[in-house]
Formats: sequence, structure tokens, C-alpha cells
Amino acid sequence: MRADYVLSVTQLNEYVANLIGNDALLAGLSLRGEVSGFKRHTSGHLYFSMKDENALVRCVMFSRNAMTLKRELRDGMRIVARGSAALYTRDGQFQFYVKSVEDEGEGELFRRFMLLKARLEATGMFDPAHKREIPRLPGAVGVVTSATGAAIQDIVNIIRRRYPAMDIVFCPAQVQGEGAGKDVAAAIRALEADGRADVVIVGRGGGSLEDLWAFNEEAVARAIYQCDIPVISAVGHETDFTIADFAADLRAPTPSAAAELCVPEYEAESADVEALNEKLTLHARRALEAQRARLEAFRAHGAFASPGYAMKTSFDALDALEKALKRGAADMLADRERALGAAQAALTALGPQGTLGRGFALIRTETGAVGSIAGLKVGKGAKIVMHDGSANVIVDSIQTGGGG
Amino acid sequence: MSGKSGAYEANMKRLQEIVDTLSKGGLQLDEMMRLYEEGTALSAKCRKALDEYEARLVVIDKQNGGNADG
Repeated sequence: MRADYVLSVTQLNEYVANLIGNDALLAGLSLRGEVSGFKRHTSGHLYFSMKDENALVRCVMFSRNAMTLKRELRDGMRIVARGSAALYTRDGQFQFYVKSVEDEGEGELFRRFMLLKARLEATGMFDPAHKREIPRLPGAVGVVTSATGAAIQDIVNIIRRRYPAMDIVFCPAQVQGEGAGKDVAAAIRALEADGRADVVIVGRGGGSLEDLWAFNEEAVARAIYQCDIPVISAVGHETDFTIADFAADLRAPTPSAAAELCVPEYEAESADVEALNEKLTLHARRALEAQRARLEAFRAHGAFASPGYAMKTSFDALDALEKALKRGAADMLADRERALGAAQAALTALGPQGTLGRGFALIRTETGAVGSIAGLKVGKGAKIVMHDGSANVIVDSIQTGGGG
Repeated sequence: MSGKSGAYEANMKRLQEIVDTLSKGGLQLDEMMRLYEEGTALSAKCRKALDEYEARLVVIDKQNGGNADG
């Protein structure tokens, strides 16, 4: 076209439309991208854009083609569309005319995903019996993700919010592109070798199926499976499932959710310990009160002739224990030694050993200890047991009734 | 599960057991005191474990773990 020609706008657009229309590739191609700005016109035609990281193209899908859709398109959906590219001359708008759509999931990557999943599943790699429990309180949290993504920020922020002083061991890895799978696997092993973390978050933020592909590689699945430390996978958004998710001990829908799952809230955990400690003291005090009640009952019955001293010692011992309980555990040990020693001595004094110690004797026959004069018979043998020895005697005569 | 996290969980579990045992009552005085003492020691350990962090963010590199090809 010569430079001194003046064209109308219509002529220009028709010329370009013609150029494009004559291109064999543009006449029938498959286009991969993400749906954006989706609108369904009342006519039934669909208008939207398809985009990737760097570019966008307007798309039209006429109602007769739209009727063949297996499911409604929506923003964010990653699709592979069959169609042709052409210029819409009225607007000078370059457009892609969509004839049919398949979910990208049905494409080649998805087939590879399904194959690998089936193969690894058959080896038992996803067996629930192999899943380790996520610790209630990790010594430190390990993280494998990109040093530059939003995921590491989200994870650190949430851990800090829940448990401000929690220690984090971060091993950055390349999470997308060539070699990312091996890199992620190496990072998992590095954290394992480091040994400080006892739970590991492995993941990245959202992206296309290709972006997330490293987490569908066998190397990553194996590293997760073989890792001695429990692993939480956190790849993409809630709707993204990867092989890593199946191999992991726990799948978190997002990196933020993983952080929530692996660290308790400091305040709540502290309250739990405190509550147990309070219950401990409460029940110990109740047990002491029960012991005191028993002693009171003992005294009320007047079971012993002169147990006053021993009784007092027992009550003193209980008092000492109660005081110690009130003070708490700090100097419990020393008090316990003293008080328990005293209590033991006091209770022993109430028992037969103590009574013997005070000069009383126990009489036994071959049927055991004798508690009544009826247990003795004239002419039969008996044994007198005292605190420092015993004597065998023969009963000479018997008088019934008190005193003697 | 190794080290700290396992110990914490085991200690919390044992502490809970002790509380349960004490709450049932019927123990000898010395047994009761022994459990109380064990319990206070455990709760002190748990408390300590909760506060034993230093808010570190350590960054390590992959070279140590990168050799065993999966």
C-alpha cells in the first residue's frame, strides 16, 4: 500500500481483518488462558477475556456455541478454548471467537497428574496409616516456599500473631519453573537435616496449573513421604489439589491456613496449662480435707486411750501440707519431707507399733492376734509380743471382765 | 516426633492423668502427695516449654539436604 493513499477507517480495518483472516493458524487454534470479565448477554452470547500473566485477548462465544458448554464459565477459570482469531472491523478490535471450551484440567497436564497420582497411590504413598500427627506445640516451625512470594509473609505473620515468640526455620526454594520440584524436595531434606523444626509447611500461593506444577512432581511427593518431620502442604487456593497434598500428613487449603494449623495460640495454650495446675491443687486440697475429716472422726470415737499427742501431730502435719499447697510447688519438696515424716510418725504412733513402743504388749496364739480374753484357754500356749522382743507363755488361769 | 514437642505433649497428657486420678479421691496421703508433687513439676515444665522461644526466623540453605536425589 503506497504512502500517499488515504484510507478510510473502514478500509483500514477491513484490510487488517483480511490479513488476519488469511492466516491458517489463526483460523483454527487452541488457546490456553484464564477467564476474566465474564458477561452473558441477554442474546445468549458470551463476552469475556482470556489472559495470562502478560497479555489479554477479548473473546466472544456465540450462543449457538455457548449451548455446548459442559459448565458455565466464570472468572478465574483456566480453560483451553478452540476457536479462531479475527478482527472485529466495526471496533477495530482483535478478538478470539470461541467455538468450544475444555477445562484445562482435562488437558495434558491433568492427564499427567492423574497418572502420577494413580501410580503413587498404588505404592501406598498416600496411605492414611503413614500420616504422622501434627504436634500440639512444635519446637520450631519449618517452612519451604519461595523467598519472594506472599506465602512466606502470610505464614510468618500468622505464626507471630498466634504465638509471638515461636521460632521459625525457613528454607527458601524455587517453587515454579524448571527444576522447582527438585529444589523443593532438597529444601524439605535440608530442614529435616537441620533438625530444629518438628513440623514443616511446604507450599506457595495461588497460580495456574503450570505455576503449581512443581508440587505435582514425584520428587516433591517422595521428599514429603520420606520426611521424618510431619509435613503440612499448602499449595495455591482452596480449590487447588496437588500430589504434594496427597503425600503430606495434612493438607491446608492455603499457606495462611497451614500456619494456623501448626501453631497453637499462646494465650489458649497457657490457659490450658494454668487450668490443669489449678485443678491439681484443688484436688490435692480436697484430698487433704478428706484426710482431716477422717482424723476428726477417729478422735470423736475416742478409739485410743491417750492418742492426744499423736492426733495433734497428725493435724499439724496436715496443716503443714495445706500451707505448702497454698504456697504452691516451689518449696513443696522440703515441706513435704518434714510434714509427711511427721504425719507418718504420728499415724504409726496410733498403730500397733507405736502402742508397743509405749510399753504395751500384743498377745498372739496360733490363730493370730488375740483381741479378747475369749481367745485364750487355760493350759494353752500364747506369745507375748513387745516392742523389743517376745515371750512364749502358758495360760495359768482366766478372769473375765474389765480391769485386771 | 522428636524432642520438645513430644515431651510437651507427653507432659500435658501425664498431668491430665494425675488430675483425673486425684479427682477420683481415695488415695493414701503419701501417694496423693507424690502425685501432687509430680503434677506441679510437670506443670512447671509445660509452663517453661511454652515460654522457651526466642521469636527467631532462621534462614537455612539447601546444600546439606540436596544430595539425596528423590
